[in-house]
Amino acid sequence: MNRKKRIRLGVFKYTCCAGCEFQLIFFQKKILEIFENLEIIYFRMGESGGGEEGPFDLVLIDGAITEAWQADQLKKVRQAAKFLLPIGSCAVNGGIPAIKNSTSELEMEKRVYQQIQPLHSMKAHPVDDYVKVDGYIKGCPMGEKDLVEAVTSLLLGKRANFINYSVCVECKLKGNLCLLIADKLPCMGPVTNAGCGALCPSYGRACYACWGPMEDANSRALAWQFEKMGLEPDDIFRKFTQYASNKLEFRKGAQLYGSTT
Amino acid sequence: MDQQPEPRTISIDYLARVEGETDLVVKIGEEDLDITLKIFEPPRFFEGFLVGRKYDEVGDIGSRICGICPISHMTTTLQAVEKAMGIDPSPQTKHLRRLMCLAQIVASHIVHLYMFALPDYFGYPGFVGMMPRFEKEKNNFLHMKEAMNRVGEVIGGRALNPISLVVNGFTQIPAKSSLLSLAQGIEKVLPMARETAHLIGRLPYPDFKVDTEFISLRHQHEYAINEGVFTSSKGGSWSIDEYQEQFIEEQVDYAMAKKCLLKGRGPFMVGALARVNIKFDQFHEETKKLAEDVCFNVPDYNPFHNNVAQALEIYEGMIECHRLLTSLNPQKEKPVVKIRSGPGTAVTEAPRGLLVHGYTLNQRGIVEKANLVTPTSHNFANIEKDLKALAEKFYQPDNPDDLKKKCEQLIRAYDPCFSCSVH
Repeated sequence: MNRKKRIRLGVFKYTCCAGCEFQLIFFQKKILEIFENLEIIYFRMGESGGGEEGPFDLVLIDGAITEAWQADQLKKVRQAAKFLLPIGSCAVNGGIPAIKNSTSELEMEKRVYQQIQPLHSMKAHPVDDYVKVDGYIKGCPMGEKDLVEAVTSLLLGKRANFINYSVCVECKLKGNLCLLIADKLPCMGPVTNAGCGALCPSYGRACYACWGPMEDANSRALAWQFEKMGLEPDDIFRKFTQYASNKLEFRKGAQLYGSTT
Repeated sequence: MDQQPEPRTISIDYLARVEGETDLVVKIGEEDLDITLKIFEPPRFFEGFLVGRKYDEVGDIGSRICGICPISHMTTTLQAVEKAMGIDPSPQTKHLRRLMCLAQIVASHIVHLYMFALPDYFGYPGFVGMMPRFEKEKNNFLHMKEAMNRVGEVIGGRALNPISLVVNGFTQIPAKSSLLSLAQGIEKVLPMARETAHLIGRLPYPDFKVDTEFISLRHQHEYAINEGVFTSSKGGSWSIDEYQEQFIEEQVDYAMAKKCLLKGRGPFMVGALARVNIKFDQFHEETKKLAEDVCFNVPDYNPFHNNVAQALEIYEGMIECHRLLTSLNPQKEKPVVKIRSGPGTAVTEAPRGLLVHGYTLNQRGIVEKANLVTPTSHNFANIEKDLKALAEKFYQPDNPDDLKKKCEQLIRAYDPCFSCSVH
């Protein structure tokens, strides 16, 4: 029998909207041949049953870590996985759930629930605060190119080459007019990781950094630029705390204008 | 030796093929039955952290409440902000939003029926495993989904978490030609929607009926999605502004989601079956004919038939999207905003039912108070009520697995979104 060895896949969801898992379901059409090489071991949104213990060739983690049981399970899953990748902004950067990190946990709980005893939520953290990861599939929802790159690299046994430049590069490639310079819009493109195809600027909108920071981005310089353009301090603070308030790159932009802890 | 027997327990840990995380515990005693839907989805505190954020980012943040119905959350958020600021968007904006929301309802139903519901009725753990033997169904699923996703991509920039929708309009208006090509795409998949209705209408649903109060939005002139008044199948209608007076939202100690009740009446059902029961007369004639072909009659009191109602809404939604796409003649418009302080509440029909967003803004347009109630919070009490009736009817002591399976099917039929419900 000529049977290829299939990649044993695990997908785990933590604190998020499940949009990235949902995206995963739709990549099937475009990269069906890749999915034919996958064997689903654990993916509760897609299939009943399946064991958390693996072993897995590839594990995808959706969502930020905000509860202790998630961190415990994540560590176990890491041990059972050859490769582990966070998918989407929540898992990669803390994402939208991390907006709450600049306010005290107790204050958050009280704003939403009358009885706070049953709650055991912690501040939102990205996956790599707890375990070693083998790359990042960025985006909100996660981008397709990086996922295809990750899976094909795994099949071919080569090192994955993820997108690692700013949204500005994609704008230039598309020939977009610069919104920051020409229209004086507070665009986060210069400090944001590319992969979306400069989506917002192409639709006449300033980038709002949903893919999170590009590695080593100089957020402080961009924050000063915003200040010169006349943005209020709290507006600048919000720009750098919407998608990745945990990440050092964005904290540098935010911390001059408000408290990030 | 007269010992009180221990109650039998049926439990489901981390229910598969639904959006989000829940357990179910059914305790069967001598005299009574106890049902608890333990929604353990971790809270993200949207109502907490939206406080202090500005009007121009709440739409983008709000869309991240749900990965399946981001367009509904975004639209409802924007409408609530507009209400607070006293903005009445242009008819074109309303039409484009209706188009996007309908396309998303159709897409969400397609995913629910094929990925989540169907495997139950054919005995598979998931749809991926079904695909090799269900070639035609797989193609219908993927092509329909693709055609509806395209609507979100072309008008919104991205099918999930679109980016062109802002307060009082769109940052970019689509060209007439691109709308027409979307319409062509829908024409191609319309026959697949008919096939879907026949497939879903034929499934062996349990013979089960429960007395239910259905609530949906209703509008004088159209199948209500983003505008209308609350209408109950048991009589009564209320304006959107009366929401706080008519509905109660309570915290329970076993779930992270809050539970909603209609004041003085109790549990109620929202979603596709509620809409179809209340607004069947507003369907296009072709959809009414399709309903007849699959032997669906209103009012229908079998919650499992929410699947059939979804299949009918897929067809109806495609026809309506096609009508809008071919009749709209988009003109350039700039989304102008004049910031004003005050409260605003908006309600829309998301794929799974009534969705409520309410915000109070200050004079700089910063959120001071946020309140969100999602379809699954509205359905929470009714799901438990139906599960109880189901267990009473179908429990056999020698075959508890049958009931367990039916409980799973029933919860799935509601198409719950636990991530939304906790938010």
